[in-house]
Amino acid sequence: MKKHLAHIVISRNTTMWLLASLLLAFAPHILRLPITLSALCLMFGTWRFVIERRSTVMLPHRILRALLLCTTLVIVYLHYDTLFGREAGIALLACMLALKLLEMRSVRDYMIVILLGYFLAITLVLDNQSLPMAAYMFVVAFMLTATLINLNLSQKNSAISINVKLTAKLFAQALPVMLILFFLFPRIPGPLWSLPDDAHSGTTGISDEMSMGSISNLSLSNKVAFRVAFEDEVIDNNLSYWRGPVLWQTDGKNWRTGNNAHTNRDTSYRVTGKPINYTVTLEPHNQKWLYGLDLPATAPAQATINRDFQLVTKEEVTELTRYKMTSFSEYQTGPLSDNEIQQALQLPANRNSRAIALGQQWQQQLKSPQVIIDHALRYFNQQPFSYTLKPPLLGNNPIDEFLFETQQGFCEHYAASFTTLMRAAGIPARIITGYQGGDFNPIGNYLIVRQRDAHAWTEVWLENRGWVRIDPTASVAPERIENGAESAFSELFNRQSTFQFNNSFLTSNWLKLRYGWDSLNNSWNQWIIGYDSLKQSQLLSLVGIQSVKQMAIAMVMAVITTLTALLLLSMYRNRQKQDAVSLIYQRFCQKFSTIGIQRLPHEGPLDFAQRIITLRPDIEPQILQINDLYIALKYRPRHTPQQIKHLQQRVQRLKL
Amino acid sequence: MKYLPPLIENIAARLFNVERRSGNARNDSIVLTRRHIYILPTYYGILFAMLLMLLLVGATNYNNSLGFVLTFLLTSIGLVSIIHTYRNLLQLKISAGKASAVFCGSIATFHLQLENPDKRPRYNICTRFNRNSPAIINIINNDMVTIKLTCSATQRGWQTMERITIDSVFPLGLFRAWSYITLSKSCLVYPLPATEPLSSMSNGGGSGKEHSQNGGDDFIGYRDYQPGDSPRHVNWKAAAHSNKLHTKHFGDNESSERWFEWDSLQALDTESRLSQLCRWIIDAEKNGVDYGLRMPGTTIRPGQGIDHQHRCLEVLSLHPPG
Repeated sequence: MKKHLAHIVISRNTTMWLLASLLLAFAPHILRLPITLSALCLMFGTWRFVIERRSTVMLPHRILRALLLCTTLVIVYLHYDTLFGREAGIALLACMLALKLLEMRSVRDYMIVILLGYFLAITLVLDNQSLPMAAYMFVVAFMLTATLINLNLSQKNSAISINVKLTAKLFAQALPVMLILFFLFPRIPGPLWSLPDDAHSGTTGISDEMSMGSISNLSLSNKVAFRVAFEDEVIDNNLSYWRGPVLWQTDGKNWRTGNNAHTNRDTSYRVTGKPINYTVTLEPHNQKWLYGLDLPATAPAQATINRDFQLVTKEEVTELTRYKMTSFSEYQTGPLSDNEIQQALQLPANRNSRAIALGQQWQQQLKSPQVIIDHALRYFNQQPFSYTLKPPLLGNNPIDEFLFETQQGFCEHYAASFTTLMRAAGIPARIITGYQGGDFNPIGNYLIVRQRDAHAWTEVWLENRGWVRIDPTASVAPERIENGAESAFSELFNRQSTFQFNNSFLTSNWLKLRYGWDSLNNSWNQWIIGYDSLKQSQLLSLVGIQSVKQMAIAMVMAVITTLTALLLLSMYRNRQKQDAVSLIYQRFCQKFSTIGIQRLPHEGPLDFAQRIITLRPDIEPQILQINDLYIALKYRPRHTPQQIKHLQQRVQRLKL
Repeated sequence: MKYLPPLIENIAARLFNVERRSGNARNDSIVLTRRHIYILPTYYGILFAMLLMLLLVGATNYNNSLGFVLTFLLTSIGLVSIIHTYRNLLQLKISAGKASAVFCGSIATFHLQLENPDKRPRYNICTRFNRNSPAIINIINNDMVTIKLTCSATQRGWQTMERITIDSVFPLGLFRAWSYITLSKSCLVYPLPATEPLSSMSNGGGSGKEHSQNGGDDFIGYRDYQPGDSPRHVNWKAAAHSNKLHTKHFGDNESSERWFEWDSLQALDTESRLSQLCRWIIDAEKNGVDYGLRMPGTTIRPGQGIDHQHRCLEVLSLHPPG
């Protein structure tokens, strides 16, 4: 079937459209690809551009192209150590596309480049599914489709307006069918096969290891960690502790999870007070846990609660996940096992000896654990400790250096040193990492927890009370706990283009805008990004569609109906639009055909008028009048409705 | 394969009162309706479908909602383009125009009028006879465009117009709508003129009386100018007064007539005889000689002019073969 297109002459215009749309599709990749590859791709594109502008420059010779191909392959291989996988695949696709530009001649080449361009468009959204990126993807698809139309327009240098108008029309008409397919196409829960290692590159947020500085690194990030919609009322900020990994083991510098990570929940705990019901929408973080409000009481289907009261999942969270939870803020946990006591008191002997000595000194002087805890908190409060995002670097005895020298630290410094002191004083203690606080969005009515709300705190185990949360950071910087990270570091955040809370008109409007935007993003996440096989079956069961088969039938029916409606509508509109003058003239011709005078297909109105005058000289003046009026109306752009009416009356009155 | 299921087609036909026409009706004009138009994906359409499959697998594998959005957007653009391609031919009116007579062995030209009754322009409509290179046109709203299609004239007599293929892949090149049209238009093909005129005036069969090429020397009168007349014989004085040219006609009444006779060429077979007669007629017409034709069963009295020549050649063209 190739030959149907073979005769189309490809204009320079088409190539320019193609280059522009490919540049658009490639732009977001420029900074992500290795600089050599980006430069190479841009060079090939520019080369083609120059060829189009100056007819003296020719396409490179076959041998040169083969050389360029080999070079590109080698560069990709050197950078990625493979030609497969996601990142290398994207790089390879971009390079092959750019290289193809240097041999693009026939319609077939152009078609292949455009189709590959669509493929490049999908790589844009592989790890950024935000609303702006969606809009950008639409623009890229629009440009590529306009190029495709341009390729199929035989008119040389066809006007841009025709192209853009037609593409816009096509997109507008495609929208309903697209929505039908999006919501009704039966989704299979992916992945279909195991993904390459770099499929979900980069974990974000909190990890299951903590060192000094690992959390403060997150604190400048405004990225959303999760959003929470409460069923009743929003909880107080000082209760808003979102529990993540629980860290037991330490080598004096780093903290890791303990043996409890894969054990089942201890059932010997009691909760009191009102249950807190809420729904969390967690952004993918590529870790095997969810976050829940302290203390989670129920686990969603995809997770279990382990002995550390952490919500753990079997698979990494690689997509937006929504789950319902119930938590209690008042609780009492059960006894510890010997093994647990041993773990909760573990300290490396060769590090942080001054801190250990201080803890042991407190144990001997103060005896009661509660008194020791109060004393330690007072110690943090009264010594010149400061809370900072940019703590000085620490060496091999970080706790000692922090406690007795620098005294500047972020939450992980306080949590780690407090836990160390407690363990030295014989009180079982562990570190909890997670998030604390969050912004309440009054427009969408939900809590936004961002990466900058990442936090670490301590739990100590007390006889008869179980694990008790102690947040040493609160002693140093109570405003961090009360008002959140943003107010604690308002100067820093100001530089991050957020505003200090005050009541000025500008600020309140700015906040409204920000919350509105986040609320839009939230709905986008809920309905578009979070729309998966589970959500699909939930939504469709509401309208009585229960099985995949029914889904498929409904989809096909809906698509056919929409397309038919579109066809009928366009035909109907076209009929409506058929111009009145032509219709009247048709009636005029019909009158003559009833007396046996047919207007011949090749006969223009003037020729026809001349012929009928020779056949019917008796009505010559009428014929001439009608004909003149018709020609005037048909070929002169401006005319009034009265003139059309005039013509109509004349044709009606004509008696043969 | 037709594009719409018959039931929907019927509904559409009722709604819009689409006239049913048989595909092979031998009219000299035809309006393309749903009954005539076929639509199938092109090679690129199949490639596009493969791309969509790939995108779908990718989106499923990465559980990427925007990937699904793009996949379904492209799918529906492809589907909607079917309607556009189909409509590009729908309701197009094709009528046969004139087809001038040609000599055998040369190129026959058929004129076709393509009329777009809609307010919507139609782009990239290809019209062709089988295997010939197509005429590609755009027709703006409510307009009529005349195109010429050519084919070689291979046999004398009436040559009917070949089947026309009209197709379009606009706008995306993913689908091709096409239709086959047969119109009842014929082109008259004259016999192939003989290359070497036999001495027609061989007198052998008592044929035409030989006469000098320029007629006699006596002025007889004026006749209408014929192409090929010597400018020296044109009555330029009279031409200044009227817009018609007249040529002074010389010769004597008797001998300026020539008769070309079928029976004078008994030595040859039918086709060679016709070729020979054809050549004589052309030459005589060129030289401005009155000539007549005597064929079995038909006699054309001597005369001159394009119409006269056509009458004579037509008789030759339609002479039964064998």
